[in-house]
Amino acid sequence: MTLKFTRWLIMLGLIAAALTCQAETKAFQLAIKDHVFTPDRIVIPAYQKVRLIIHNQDDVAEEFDSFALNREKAIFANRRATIFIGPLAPGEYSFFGEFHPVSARGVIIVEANSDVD
Amino acid sequence: MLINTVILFLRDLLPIFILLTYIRAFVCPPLLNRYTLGLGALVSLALILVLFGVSANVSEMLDGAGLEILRASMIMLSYCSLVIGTLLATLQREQLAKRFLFVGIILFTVVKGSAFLIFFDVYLQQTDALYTVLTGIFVGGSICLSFSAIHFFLLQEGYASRLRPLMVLFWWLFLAGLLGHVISPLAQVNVLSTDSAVWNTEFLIHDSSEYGHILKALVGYESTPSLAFLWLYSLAVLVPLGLRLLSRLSAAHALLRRLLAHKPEEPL
Repeated sequence: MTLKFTRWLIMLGLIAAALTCQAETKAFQLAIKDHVFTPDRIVIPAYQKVRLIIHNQDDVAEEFDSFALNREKAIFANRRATIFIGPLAPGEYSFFGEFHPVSARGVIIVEANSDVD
Repeated sequence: MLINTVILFLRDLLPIFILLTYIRAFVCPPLLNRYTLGLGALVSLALILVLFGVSANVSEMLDGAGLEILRASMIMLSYCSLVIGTLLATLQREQLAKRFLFVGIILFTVVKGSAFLIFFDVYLQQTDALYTVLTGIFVGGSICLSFSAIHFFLLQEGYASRLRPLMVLFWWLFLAGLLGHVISPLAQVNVLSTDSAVWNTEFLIHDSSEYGHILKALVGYESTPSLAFLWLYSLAVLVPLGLRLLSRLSAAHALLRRLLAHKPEEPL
């Protein structure tokens, strides 16, 4: 009984820790409309994990793709998706929409002294 | 759009062709007969359609990590089934090996096929792009088929020659690559934490290039691998190789015991 209770406590602790970590992660919004990312430039702080919340406002799915960030996520029509990126060194990291690579393009600028801190 | 379709073909469907080529070449050739291929195609297609249908809803589960967790779980199960199936095949347990390999192939095909279907669905809604997409599918399909034919020939010839250990090693590297690529999707939904890249070989072969896609499909190439990826990749190669070695040693030990206990009038 005690062992079971301890297990539950540990599990709740882990979930709480995970939720706290997520709550502390800075979030950045990105929209897809007419197969174009808006904004197409996002400045994020260096050496920090951040959360990109992408809202696909088109009626077809899109795939957020970035070789530089090693990220690849399908965002279904009229839905939101969250992608965690970083911690990253200062620099520019491009991304694009896999299904509309000509129009859907953008860049994430990682700055050491970013004012988003 | 034509090039994009071909690239998506290489990314999503070429690994399925490569997997089937290995099975047919030496892992378990009797598995791929007409009956199992037909049954496998039907089951895969049904499951691909189901997964495609629920993908949008699943993707919003578990705080947006639903689809990644589901796909990663399926890939891990597929890897385990394929490893167990291969080991059973080497131990001459063909019937059991066939079942495990069949499950592994289906799971892998469903994950890759459903990803391709999302793309295909997007382009089918653009009627003006239909001709280009169909051309892309024809070109992509032809590349996959011709690549598979050459790959099959090389594997068969290599396996029949002194290069057999190398061919077997390539199979384990292929499986390790299959498993290793669950790291990035899990990291992007914060289930795992990954550090920065251990090295960068983008100047040699970029992930986005055609060679990058082919190498990724063949051996799980990653130009900027994280430490977590390298650990998982190494374990995915070493653990089955170790198990194979152990099974061979125990088989040799059993044979030796039978030889030592052998009486001349009894058959071995």
